[in-house]
Amino acid sequence: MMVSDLKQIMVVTKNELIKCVRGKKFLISLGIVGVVFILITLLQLVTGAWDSLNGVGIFIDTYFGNATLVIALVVALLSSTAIVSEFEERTALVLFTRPIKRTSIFVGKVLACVIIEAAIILGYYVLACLVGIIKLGALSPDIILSFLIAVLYAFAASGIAFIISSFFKKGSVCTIIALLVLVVILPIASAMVSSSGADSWYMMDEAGSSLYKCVPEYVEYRNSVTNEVAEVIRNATEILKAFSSDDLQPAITWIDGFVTSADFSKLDTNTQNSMLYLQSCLHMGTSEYMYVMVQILESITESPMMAPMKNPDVFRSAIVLIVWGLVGLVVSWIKFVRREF
Amino acid sequence: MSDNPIEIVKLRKEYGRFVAVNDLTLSIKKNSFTGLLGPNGAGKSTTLKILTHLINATSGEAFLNGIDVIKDPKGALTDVGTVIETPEFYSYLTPKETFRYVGELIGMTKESIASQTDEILERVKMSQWQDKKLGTFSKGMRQRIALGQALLSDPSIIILDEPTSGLDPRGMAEIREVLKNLRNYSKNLTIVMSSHILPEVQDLCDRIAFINHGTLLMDDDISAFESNDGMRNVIVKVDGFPTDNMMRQISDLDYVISAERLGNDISITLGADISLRSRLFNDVAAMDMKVYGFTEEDSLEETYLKLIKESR
Repeated sequence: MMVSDLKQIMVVTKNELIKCVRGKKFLISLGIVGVVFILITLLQLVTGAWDSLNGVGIFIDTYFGNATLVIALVVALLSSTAIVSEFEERTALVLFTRPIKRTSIFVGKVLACVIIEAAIILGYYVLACLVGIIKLGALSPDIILSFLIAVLYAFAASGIAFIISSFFKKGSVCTIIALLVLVVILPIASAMVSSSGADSWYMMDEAGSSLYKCVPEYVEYRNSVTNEVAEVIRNATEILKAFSSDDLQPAITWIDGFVTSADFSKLDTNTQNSMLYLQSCLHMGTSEYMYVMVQILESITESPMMAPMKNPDVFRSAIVLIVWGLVGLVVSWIKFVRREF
Repeated sequence: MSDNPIEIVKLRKEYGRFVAVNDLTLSIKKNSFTGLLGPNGAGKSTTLKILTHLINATSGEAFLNGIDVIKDPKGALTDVGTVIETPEFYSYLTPKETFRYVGELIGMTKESIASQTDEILERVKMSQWQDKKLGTFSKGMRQRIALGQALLSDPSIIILDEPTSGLDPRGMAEIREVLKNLRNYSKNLTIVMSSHILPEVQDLCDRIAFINHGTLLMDDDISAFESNDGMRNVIVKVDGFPTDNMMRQISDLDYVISAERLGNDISITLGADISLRSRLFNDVAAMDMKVYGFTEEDSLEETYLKLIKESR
């Protein structure tokens, strides 16, 4: 009796879901997401930041600003052992010797991972949105778009985790490598490309950041914060520039002469010390260190970091995430179907 | 359907420069219980893993019920049950859930899965554990479940790769008991089992395919392996020293080729036909001798060692 591939994919998916729900890693993932949610909420209440949580933008920043990191953690835990466990735990000896294509097994595993990850993400979104609705009364409908991008980010990250799972022999090694790649290496690579001034839309983390950037209120909030910081830096630069001006030279000449004069020795000790301190300040103000400091502050204000955030091209981000996921899955599928026991 | 449910034609598997299976050609007869014998590294497991699509062949063909397992593994494995080494199961499932999963994968109906599950669990003596998680089972229990899932769809071919490997004596005996009874439930059943435990093969199999260095050395009925150039040696253990009269009585039996003292035992050579041993047993029992033991010399072991030596 030949069973259709689709039916077998559904059977494998169902079993993988049961395996996941009954496994420790699912509980750990739920724990991570739960702890993140509770910590964010508690910190808001304890530090008094709860009162300033008065707009959709700051709400998104607070609850979803680090969502890609949490999703990467969950994916690294759940997807990184999906393939390797069959070989490591010798369950492949039963599953692979059945009349079923390896591709069907692979697709079933991918579906199960994405479904379970989407369910965990949905749980977090529901909890966060409940807080948002309680505090703000209503939330932007763009939060649904944000959820879809988050699921696509999980799909893309799963592609990377599946590659790792296909090439290694130990589940624990796969989890550690997946954590390193998804939580450390890829975000750093994305940040490096961004900070160099180049457009980093093709990077997985940059595309994933659309999950919060897709809410216009968040972009407005971030730009207002950036403008405030830029204003402070600009003012500080102006002050430093004034100190380093050549206009200070007459004052320096006068104070250098004064501290060596007989009048100086007639002053009381406290006044003498104050005069000496003023002298060193005036000298420092004209030193090359001060010029360097001014240059640094000027470069910060001109850096891409201080550039206003644009509303992202959500469609392009979605395509980028799908491509990352598909490339990862195709590579791991090729390895999986050729892997021998 | 082919007369030979398993056909292996010029099968070859290379790992770099090492040839694990060397153009092996072998046919497994329908309804036989064939033991794939050979020393460690002979290529038994590699051959069975190619047959069950766990590894790919470098070249050659392998047919299960006439379907090439290399070209169409899904089709070829449709009517096949397998136990390769000592497989593990998903520890979070119970035996019932495991059978349901396997049954659904191979397209069995819910009713069929339910009825077969009860019957198979009874056969492998695991009924009382049907709702316990597999993670808590001993190796022997897991192996009985492995055997159970292989039998679930009532397949016409069963492939076993060292099914008792790593089990304690009790576990081995339990598995052998199940294997012995397999053909009581299905007359249309071809079994191939790799092993290097000779008594196990003697106990279970009716044919032996002997391979070494990935090449077939001999493929025949087990009696051909057990006989020593068409003869069998039987040891009769007697309480006390065998007298000349006893020796004469035995030698005078028309089917006995020779009889000689072996300490307090008598070594008797006769034809390989099993009926001759039956006659000897009755005739010796009728003589005025205090017989307390009747054993056969292990010719299979001799043949095994001889074949290995010749194939070096």
